[in-house]
Amino acid sequence: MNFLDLEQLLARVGRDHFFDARLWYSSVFPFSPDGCLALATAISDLLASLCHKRAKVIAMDADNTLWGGVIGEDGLNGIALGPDHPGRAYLDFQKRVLGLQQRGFILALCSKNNPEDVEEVFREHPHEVLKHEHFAAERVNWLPKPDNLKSLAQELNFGLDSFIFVDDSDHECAAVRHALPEVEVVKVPARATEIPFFLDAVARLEITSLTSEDLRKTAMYAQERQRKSQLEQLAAGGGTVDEHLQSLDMRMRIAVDDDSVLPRLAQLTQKTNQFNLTTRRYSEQDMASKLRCDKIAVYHFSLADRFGDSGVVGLAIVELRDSGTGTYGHLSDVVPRYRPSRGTGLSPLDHLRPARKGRPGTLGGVYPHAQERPCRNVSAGQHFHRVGRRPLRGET
Amino acid sequence: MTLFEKLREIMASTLEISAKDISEDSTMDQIEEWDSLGHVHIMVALEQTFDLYMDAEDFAELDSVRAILRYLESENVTW
Repeated sequence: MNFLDLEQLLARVGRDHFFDARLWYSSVFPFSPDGCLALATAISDLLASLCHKRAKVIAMDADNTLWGGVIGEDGLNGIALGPDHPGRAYLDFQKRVLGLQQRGFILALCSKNNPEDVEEVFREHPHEVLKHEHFAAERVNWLPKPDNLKSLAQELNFGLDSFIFVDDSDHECAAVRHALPEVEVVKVPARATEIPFFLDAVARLEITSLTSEDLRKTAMYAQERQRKSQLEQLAAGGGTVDEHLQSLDMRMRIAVDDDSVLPRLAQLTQKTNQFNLTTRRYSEQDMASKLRCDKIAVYHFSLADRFGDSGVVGLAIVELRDSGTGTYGHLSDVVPRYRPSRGTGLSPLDHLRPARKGRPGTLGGVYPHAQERPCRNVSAGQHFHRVGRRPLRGET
Repeated sequence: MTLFEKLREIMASTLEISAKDISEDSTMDQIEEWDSLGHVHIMVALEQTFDLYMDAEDFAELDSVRAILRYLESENVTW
């Protein structure tokens, strides 16, 4: 079930202009032409946001996007960013982008500039809202933007079809559209006053469902950076990855058929690509019926370590099948959200036991798909063996 | 372009039918697409095209091409 906020729509159009009493009393048609148009647009936007894959990464230009002017030419004091016009429009825009980041979108910087110029804004500009910590990855260089987007996709582990590219330059927008048609390109309006709101019209940035993991994402990225830097320190001192994993003091919690995390369970199947064995997408309704079903067990895995709680990170759907000799588990969907750490006993597959003792269950439904590579190596685990799937490319 | 031709153009595009199907003698009963919703569309299109504000009472009476033409002439519309 999805809701459309009519109050907000009414407020925007204005109540007096939204309805037309003449049309209502003469023809039982409640809306004015303006109201009808606004409503139709809102409904089609909502449908689009449900049908299209939600965007995950917003790759942003810097000059004339995050601030007015060109930092390399105008200098720190010359760019427009601050309480006065037109700087305030950019300030408001940055705040809105920060809001998107806090609601779970990932920001990437993609700017043709000297890194030290951009660095100066981040470090010294009194009104800069977005800082390094808000960008999950940055490309500040003179390479073609399509190349930078490709390497950002690689670094962030997202497909380019999850990207929205935001830039003020017709030339850059056209270059990305041409080279990477799967990237949605949004051009920054030429008028500064339109800049704070232009992303509102992008349907794929619409949030129809929000989980507590989304709200904590920023903190999770910070934790992830801490983990990474610890790993780097350890590696510099000659330590191994295993030692790193040991030192994290990871704790996994396993629960089954728990509907208190229903939105997150559905979201995991919708948002996880690389570590998703089937990429079958389930809506909240689908998932709710699986939780209720006697013949299906839905396991979920929550992970915490010394840096923080990562929330629900994995999901496995086990079909309990009658085979004549008793029930056994058929593991049909596995979505470990994180890279299963082999040998640490923290791979979800290590913990799933088929219902009948002494007989391995089966792990089925691994489908080759665009982002198959990382999950190719998800082994069936000691309690499951694989059945019924085509070998993946490059695999014997 | 005569007033009738202009009206025919408006009606053809709002009802999504061919202009050939509309004559000066056409009435609401004869054109299948000219149903109550189609009527709302025509009235709204007339208001927007000719910058009019029509009364609800007029809506019901404007159920033929001839009636609409008479009404538009009485309003001295330009286009």
